[in-house]
Amino acid sequence: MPLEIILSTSVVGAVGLCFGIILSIAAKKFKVETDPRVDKILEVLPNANCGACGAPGCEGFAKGVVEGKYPCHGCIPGGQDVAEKVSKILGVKAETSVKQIAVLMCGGTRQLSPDIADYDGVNTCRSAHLILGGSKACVYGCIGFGDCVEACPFDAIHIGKQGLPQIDGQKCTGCGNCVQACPKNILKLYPVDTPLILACSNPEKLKEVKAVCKVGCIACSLCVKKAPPQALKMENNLPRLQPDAPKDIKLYEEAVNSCPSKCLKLGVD
Amino acid sequence: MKWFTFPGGIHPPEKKELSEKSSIEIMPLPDQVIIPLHQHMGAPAKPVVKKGDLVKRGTLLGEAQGFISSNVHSSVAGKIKDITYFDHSKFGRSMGVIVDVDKENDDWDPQIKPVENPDSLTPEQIIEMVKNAGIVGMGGATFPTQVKLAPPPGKHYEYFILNGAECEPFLTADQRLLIEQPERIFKGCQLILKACKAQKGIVAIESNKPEAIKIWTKFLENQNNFQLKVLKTKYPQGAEKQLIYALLNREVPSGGLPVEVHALVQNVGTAAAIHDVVYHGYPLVERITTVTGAVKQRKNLKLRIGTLVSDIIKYCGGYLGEPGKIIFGGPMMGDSQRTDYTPISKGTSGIVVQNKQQVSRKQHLNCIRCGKCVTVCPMNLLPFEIAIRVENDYIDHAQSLNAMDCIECGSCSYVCPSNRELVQLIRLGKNKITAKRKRGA
Ligand code: SF4
Ligand code: SF4
Ligand code: SF4
Ligand code: SF4
Repeated sequence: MPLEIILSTSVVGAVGLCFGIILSIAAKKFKVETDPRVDKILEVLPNANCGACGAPGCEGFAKGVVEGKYPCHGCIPGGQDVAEKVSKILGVKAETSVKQIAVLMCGGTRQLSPDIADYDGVNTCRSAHLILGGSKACVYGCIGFGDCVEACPFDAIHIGKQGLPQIDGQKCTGCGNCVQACPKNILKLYPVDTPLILACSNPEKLKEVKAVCKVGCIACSLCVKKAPPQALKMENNLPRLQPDAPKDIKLYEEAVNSCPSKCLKLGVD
Repeated sequence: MKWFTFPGGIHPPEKKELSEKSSIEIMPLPDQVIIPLHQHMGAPAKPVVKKGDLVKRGTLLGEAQGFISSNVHSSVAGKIKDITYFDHSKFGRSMGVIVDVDKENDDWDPQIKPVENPDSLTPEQIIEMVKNAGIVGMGGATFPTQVKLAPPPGKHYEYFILNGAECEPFLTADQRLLIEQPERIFKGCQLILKACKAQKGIVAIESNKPEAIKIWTKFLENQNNFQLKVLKTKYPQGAEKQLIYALLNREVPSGGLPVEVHALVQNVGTAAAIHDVVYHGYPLVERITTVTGAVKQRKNLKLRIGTLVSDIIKYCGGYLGEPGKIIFGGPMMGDSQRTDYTPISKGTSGIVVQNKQQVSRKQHLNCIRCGKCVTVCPMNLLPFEIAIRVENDYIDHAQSLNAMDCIECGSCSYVCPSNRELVQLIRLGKNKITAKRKRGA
């Protein structure tokens, strides 16, 4: 009995030893030289594997950035901090980037834009959207099943009490996963210093908008007149902040107060 | 007689008896129509008229944009009230032309004239006329017909199949056309055969339409280029790929078009429309639509494109009970509507109403791996596997299980004892796959 145990243990041990030796020789012989900087960069990345940089995960980005495929500030969730660390490892000068966060372009809660039909299908926004845009009166607005919540790798979006997603500006890194997940295309990334946000995406006119939502933009253009000159322009029946508009929030207070539908907000948060 | 068919499929209650005996009836002109600028696969038409313009029946309202697109004409004479957003029965909010109808002067546009020698047109001339008339597949798919008629370079057609299967439950519009107007349809068929340069024509009718079969057997007796074939009554027998398999024993390759197996399929209504443009010059502005289910009088109506469902239901005596669901097309593949303030378009083969009691709401349970969905899937897919992948967001897996081949017939959802939302999940998966492709990932 003990002999059998000793025998089998030693056979297995000997086989293991043989393979171990072969493997260690192979590892030496066929060694692939990796750039040590890749590992260093990997250490400073958030390791969320969110894909916002365009690479299939953080490791892909680390390799790519060393090869020059991605810029040092390519990791969006990492922000300025990671950009600087990566630049330091690579020995180049860091470029500045403004942090962006996701903003919901709709304020139409269940009460303000009610359902006009029953939806009895798969509980995702995309699925509801596939059936004539869903059951909500306004087909441009948020459906509220939370595809964006599912998509966020940083736990930054939650469906609030009113049934609309709320974005936690502290946690949101601007990776843009929610933007891609939303079938309505109503989540947009904005630089954190954006002074004015429109919480509506309905491109129709007064009568049609009024019929479906209490806080929809009715394209009255009052805000355009009250905002600093040239800062806002009507595009597709919605006011749009121009890229070169001044960034001082105070300048837009009058425009926000003038909006009869109350769908303009100061600042991204 | 031998009945042709395909493997898989289901046999839901036909419900055709509700409307199959009612002859085609012309609905009087409504006060207002909303004519969608997007009634076809591909890009919406671009409006060429403006608010306040006076139009006649057949006046061009919108011009096709690009290769896969189609012209849109006014179905009534009257004045354009507005060009604006409305609730489209297939595309959600979309642009349409609202016309106040002039009931007194229902004339055709004076520019519309029949050609002098309809029988000596070349295939190219026929295709050009079809294109200008804005004809699309009227079974519901609404693919621009001129694109289908002209095979891509290097390909050719051998067979033309007239699709008279009408396999969707409830619908009887094609059946009535086949019974009441065989000459018009047959002339249309001859034109299609000529235009697509195929050698042989097949008229395919499902076995549950004995009257139509009788008429067409006699009608085709002395025609040597056309043949009648009777199909087994089964759903989805009228789906393009299933029809071709049943009749020709040829399988359209995955992701390919029927032209790869040299077959062209056209719907009965489309053949009638092609007849009208060639022999009278009329563009496509009206169609036959079955109005059935929970309505007081069930009818097969000849309707102007753009007629509102609310007007149609009123003409049919109103709803039977409280309406619960309005479906455009048949109950298997049709689209549930958000409202009855929506117009019919070129592809509206039927309006099926269910009242509140008839709308079924079942609890969705877990898959028990019974394999029923696999047995019925006419595309030989594994619906349960694909659905589970989609649920868990394994989109690449779903794609490798050929989710894109699903024709969304709904047979799998129909048979599932657990009431799984199979076709809904697969459709969601297909949408995600396409979205991913668009992003180039
Ligand atoms: S923002 Fe978009 S994805 Fe998020 S809940 Fe609303 S509709 Fe859905
Ligand atoms: S009208 Fe604007 S705010 Fe209201 S639901 Fe639609 S998109 Fe949202
Ligand atoms: S998987 Fe698609 S093609 Fe197959 S039965 Fe289901 S709906 Fe029909
Ligand atoms: S029919 Fe339903 S329960 Fe049966 S294998 Fe398919 S999904 Fe599962």
